[in-house]
Amino acid sequence: MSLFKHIRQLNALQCLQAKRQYSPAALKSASLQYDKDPQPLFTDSETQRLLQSMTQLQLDKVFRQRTVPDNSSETKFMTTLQLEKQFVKTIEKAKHLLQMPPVVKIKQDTERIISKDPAMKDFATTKFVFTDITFGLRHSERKVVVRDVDGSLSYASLDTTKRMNQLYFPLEGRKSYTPRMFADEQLLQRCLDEHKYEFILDRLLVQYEPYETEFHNISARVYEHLNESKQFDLLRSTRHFGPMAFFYAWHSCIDDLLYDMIRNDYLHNAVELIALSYKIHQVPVDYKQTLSQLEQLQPTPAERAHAELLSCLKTKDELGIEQEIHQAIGKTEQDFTADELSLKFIEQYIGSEHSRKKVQLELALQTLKEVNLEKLQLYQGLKKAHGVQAS
Amino acid sequence: MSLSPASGIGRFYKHSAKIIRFVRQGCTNRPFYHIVVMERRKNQHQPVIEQVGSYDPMPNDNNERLVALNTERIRYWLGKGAHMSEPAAELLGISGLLPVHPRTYMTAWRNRKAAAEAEPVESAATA
Amino acid sequence: MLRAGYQLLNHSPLGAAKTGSNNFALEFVRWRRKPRWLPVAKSKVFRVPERKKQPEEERAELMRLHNHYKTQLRSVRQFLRAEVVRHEETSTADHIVLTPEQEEAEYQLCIAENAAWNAKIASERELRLAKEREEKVAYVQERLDAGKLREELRRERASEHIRHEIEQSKTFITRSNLDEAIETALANPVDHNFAIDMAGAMYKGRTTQSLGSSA
Repeated sequence: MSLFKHIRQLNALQCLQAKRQYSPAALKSASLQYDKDPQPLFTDSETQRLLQSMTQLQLDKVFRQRTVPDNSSETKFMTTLQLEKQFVKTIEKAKHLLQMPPVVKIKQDTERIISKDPAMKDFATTKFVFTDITFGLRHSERKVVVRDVDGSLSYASLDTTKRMNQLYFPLEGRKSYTPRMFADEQLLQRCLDEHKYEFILDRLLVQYEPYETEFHNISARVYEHLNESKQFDLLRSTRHFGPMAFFYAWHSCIDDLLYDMIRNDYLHNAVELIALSYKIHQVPVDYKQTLSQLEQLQPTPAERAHAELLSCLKTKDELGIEQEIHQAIGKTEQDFTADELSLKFIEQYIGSEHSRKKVQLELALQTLKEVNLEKLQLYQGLKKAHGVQAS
Repeated sequence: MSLSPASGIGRFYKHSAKIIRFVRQGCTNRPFYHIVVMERRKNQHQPVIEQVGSYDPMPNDNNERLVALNTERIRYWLGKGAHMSEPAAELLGISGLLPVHPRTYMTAWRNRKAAAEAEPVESAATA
Repeated sequence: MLRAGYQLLNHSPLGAAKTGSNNFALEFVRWRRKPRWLPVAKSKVFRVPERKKQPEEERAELMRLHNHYKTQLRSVRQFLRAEVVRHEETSTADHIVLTPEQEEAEYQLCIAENAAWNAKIASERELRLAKEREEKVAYVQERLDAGKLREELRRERASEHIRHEIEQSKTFITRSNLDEAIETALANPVDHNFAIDMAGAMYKGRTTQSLGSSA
């Protein structure tokens, strides 16, 4: 019997050592860390608004087919009134699905000893872990205490607490061991090389809490890789876009994202990104005025998606000629004025010392300007031809 | 033998003696205990009033023994005057919920004494 | 020796039933002991079991610890009992105690409430009863009318019947015209018998007309 015990203990020790070798593999190359607590800045309502606007709301992307067992949809007959109500509900649901995971600082593990009892030294060969399984507590409020072999009673480490919570109150999808994807450097690298960013981030969210070191390291790696591969469109209109933009703004490497936004003609997003970066680094530039002007000119992503849904209900005749021109060109008059404002703001940014890739950005901006000018001319020409009153 | 549900199906009299004790589940060579409240006169495999925890006496891979305690219900039943079996009292003492049981201290000093006696023998054997 | 003996016992059907086994693959460790009725083994008769000596200081220490433990546990129990009582009090409405004035006021309030309620229900009930009464009167009236009609019809039917009987009684045979009737009957004998041949021709009478004469 004692022999078995001995073998068991040896095994346990080996396991521990193996784990120690295993865990830092994925974490070694993460270089960028939040140097102070980013939570107050992130949860600030203005930042949230900026990030939500940057995320955009593309309904096709939000309600796309996922790799889940049940992807079935329901078909119903509805009156127009019901359909409009359903649209509102859909937008709400999409907003809910796009909620950003919080960005908080890493929680440090502190050893909190409740009592020390030297008389209890060697009362058993192993330590005891006690979990409070009282009904209806949240995971964060659940107490886990450890009685060590030397008789000291202390609160369990974060790691143990999480393990016990997962053991007694399992969360769906979370594994009690480190998934090989996160433990094995090569596997993670392969995922990154195949651009499965969203998959990694989703899995990361399920497996780790936002205050854990692994969460920070792996997410930082993903964002860095993404910054190099420049496939930002993969994350646009998912819940991870906001934290990603926040990460870039915090570490002042927004230029690639900015370039991507200008290329895709998301100028107001570019302005918001620059404003966010100014806000985080407390650059003395007045961005609020431009932002408020832009906000008046352009609808929020939710409103835009709602309008898009509603437009399906109308027939072509109801839309009128002006709407038709808008659809053909893709921009309204308000958009053109907004673009002018944003272009001014972006040029100011490129001119300042904060941007790193000035030449590239300027080139992109120049191309965009030309395209915009062409569109504007076409727009005005069409308007004149159809006899719409120029305002 | 079928498991009784944790909420308990055991019938009990209002003023009968209750006890917090272990029920051995698991199988041959693999003990596992439920910590339950039941009538004192019943044997361990009869339906329980309530299950208030579990205890796995075999150490896991991280070399720890896992105990789960529903402290709210344990406090309630102790307040209602439930007795405790000696192993249960020991475990609750170790958990820090109740004062440490004397028997724990006794095992501790006996273990220490045995280790102290074994050490010179080992050192002699190696030398 | 003992074991061999017991295994012999075990082979008997009684033993098998007792252990609940077929003695094939199972070996019961638990019941393979010495039966109660056998005496102590000869080799063990004079064995005195060794009793482990507890050191005096250990005993004293344990006594001290146990005393401490009991005291502590008693106070913990007291605390928990108080906690349970407090919880029970705060989680039900039993603990609210009222002064007599408050109680009286509450009683009056209840009475007033009850009276208002009663009044409301009474008015509702009156309305309902009045309606029901009207309905009953109408129903009875209707039934009475229907009864009258029924009676008239019955009378009419009876008088009709009587008239019919009187009409019929003119042809009755009475004691006065009995002889006359007999004579009439004898004079006109009626024979309802007849026969049918293959062609369907009917031959009336049996005694009044002979078949031979008709053929």
